[in-house]
Amino acid sequence: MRAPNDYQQFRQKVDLMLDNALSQEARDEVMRTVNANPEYLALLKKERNFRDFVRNNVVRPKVTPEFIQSIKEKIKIN
Amino acid sequence: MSEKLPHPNGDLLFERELLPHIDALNTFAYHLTYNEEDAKDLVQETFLKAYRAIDSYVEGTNAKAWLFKILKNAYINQYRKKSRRPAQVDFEEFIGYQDQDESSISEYQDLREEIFENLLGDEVTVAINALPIDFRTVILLCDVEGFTYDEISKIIDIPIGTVRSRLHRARNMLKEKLKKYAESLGFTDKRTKYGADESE
Repeated sequence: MRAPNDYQQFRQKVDLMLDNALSQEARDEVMRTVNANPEYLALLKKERNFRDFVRNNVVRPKVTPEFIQSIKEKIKIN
Repeated sequence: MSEKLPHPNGDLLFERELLPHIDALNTFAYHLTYNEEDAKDLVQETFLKAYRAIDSYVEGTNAKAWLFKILKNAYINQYRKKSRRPAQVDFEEFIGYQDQDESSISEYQDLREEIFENLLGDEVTVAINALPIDFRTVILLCDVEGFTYDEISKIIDIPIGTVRSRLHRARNMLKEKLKKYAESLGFTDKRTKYGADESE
């Protein structure tokens, strides 16, 4: 059974890695830990899927060419 | 009094380095204001301010972060009072929580994979928009737009440690909201505290 403190510390490292806040050396260390522990691998996949799910599903209203043109015209006027 | 001369490459810089970020700015503005018309007003104001301040922009630097900071400031200064959403919470004025140091990061919410299969994409936007604005902002900047902690720190004027702790809390809140949506659709989470299945 994993120790809760180890798990929490590893979660923090996963967050840092997925947020591109780790050095390459630190990333390699996280990946070695992940590859040696299926439970941590599942954790990494789950967190990565969550980030992907949010990024891919958030509403992104379209900007029309007319809107862009209106901004350009306002700049000329101002 | 002498009149300020226009930037010699201002139009070119504007077209080449600023305008390409209009979609990202519009998405951010939409999630701050909750409606497309206010978002367009905010984006337009951002570009007008950026054009007027283009002398202070250094070609080839981080235009996206610069524009997001302008948009955030424009929102704070002019749009929060005009928002059509009466219960909106202001930046840095939300009373219900206090930012914590990153060393306080501990408990994590986890979602089962099956939850993603039970949710529609629209529910992500509903859940994000239900977060208090400070938490919504860090999710949008980090998880949707991919800004680094350092960039987020500069855009919203908070220390990097606070960015981390706020992101941690924001993601937990978002997962909790998504879990509730999934539960309302009949999905039940039967895990133990630390995320392992009981059957494991």
